[in-house]
Amino acid sequence: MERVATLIKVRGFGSTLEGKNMYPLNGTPVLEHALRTLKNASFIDKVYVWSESKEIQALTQRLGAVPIDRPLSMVHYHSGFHSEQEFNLNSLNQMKADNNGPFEVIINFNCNYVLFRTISLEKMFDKLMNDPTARSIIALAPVAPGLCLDNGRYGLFPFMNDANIQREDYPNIYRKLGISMLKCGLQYAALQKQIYLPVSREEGIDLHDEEDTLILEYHLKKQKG
Amino acid sequence: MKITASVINDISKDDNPVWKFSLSAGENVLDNALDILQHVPILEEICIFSNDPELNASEKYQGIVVQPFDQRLAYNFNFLDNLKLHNECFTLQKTGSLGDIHLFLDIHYPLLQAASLLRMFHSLMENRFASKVIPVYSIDPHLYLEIPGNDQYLNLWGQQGLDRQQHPPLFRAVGCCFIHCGRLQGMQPLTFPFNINQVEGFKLSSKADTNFVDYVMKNQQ
Repeated sequence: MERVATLIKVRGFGSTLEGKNMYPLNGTPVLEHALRTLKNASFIDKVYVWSESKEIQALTQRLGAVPIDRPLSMVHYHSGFHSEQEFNLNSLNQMKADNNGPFEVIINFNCNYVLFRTISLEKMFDKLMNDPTARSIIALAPVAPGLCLDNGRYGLFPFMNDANIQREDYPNIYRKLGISMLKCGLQYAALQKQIYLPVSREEGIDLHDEEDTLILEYHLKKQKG
Repeated sequence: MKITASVINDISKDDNPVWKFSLSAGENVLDNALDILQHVPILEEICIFSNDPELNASEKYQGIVVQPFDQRLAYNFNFLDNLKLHNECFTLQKTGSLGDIHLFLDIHYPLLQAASLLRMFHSLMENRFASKVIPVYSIDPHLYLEIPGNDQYLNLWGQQGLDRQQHPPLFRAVGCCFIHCGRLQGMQPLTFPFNINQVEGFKLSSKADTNFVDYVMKNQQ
């Protein structure tokens, strides 16, 4: 029985970019970038990909991960047929069955974060396992201040944006990424603490649409040197 | 109605003057900014506001008038700050530097497109309540504020379990602004957004960033 598993939830199409998870970035599909990052993390025993797409399942198998079936009724997030809890139950039950028992730690990995590095995964795992009061850990990426809210008919409203304060004097702001780790055995409220690991700004770049692909391809080339 | 523009070259926060950074197209960052403005067909006059002593030593750069701005005003070009910008524009208009409508372009944004600046002008003219139009691009929610010293983070902009698309959107304001001087001084100063993409709003902060600028320019050709 294995201890640590990763779950990647992917759809065959994307709401912001069609076929996003198979979109080739520098010639390699987005999902493949994620699977290679996870494969390099030695503490991960198994990687599961929950998808309804046969093409994605084939790629998953080819790269040594385990495809699990995503029912068509669970493809849309807001279809009203199922709640997110049911999504989790469906995928986790299949993982449990495949492993002949529960996992100790489950990693949720959103493959939009193409630049997320294996070393950051290892740091997250170490931090979680070395804190007995922590139940989960989430990756955070820095966000620069100088934001605003669109107030509709009254226009823009400043948010973390003050002309009297220099940029470097603002408190640090971060954005929560779709990459987290959860200790599955702990159930008590006292042990439900969520902790965080800040990573680099580049690792937090989230692939939403076609314009992001230019940024990601540049950084992927840079990462490879 | 006179429509003018200025490139803002504020070096007070740069280790190396950004305007001198060369781009692969063979021009420096300042030439690139002037080139962007020269492709906006409605602009009648262009000038450079600079606090770089080297640039200010000559009255003109590539035939464009260079005007020094007071060092104390260097941080005031925050286009969302109505009061300071209002005072700034009032001063500049008295010196004859600003027309009836003025476009400020911060030199740190080399990927802004002339076509977007033209569309910004049209959106300013179409909205009679707008005294300013600023390009913005969207920022994802789920923001946390670091509480220094105890490794804790405060939920600043996010609702657990709520999808990203269901959060009120936040934007990053880009260092560029079309100002209607009459409306700014004569009515409630309302600022409206003009949506651009993240790449166009890229901020050039260091020499290393020019690699990305070159990469984008090469791919956009």
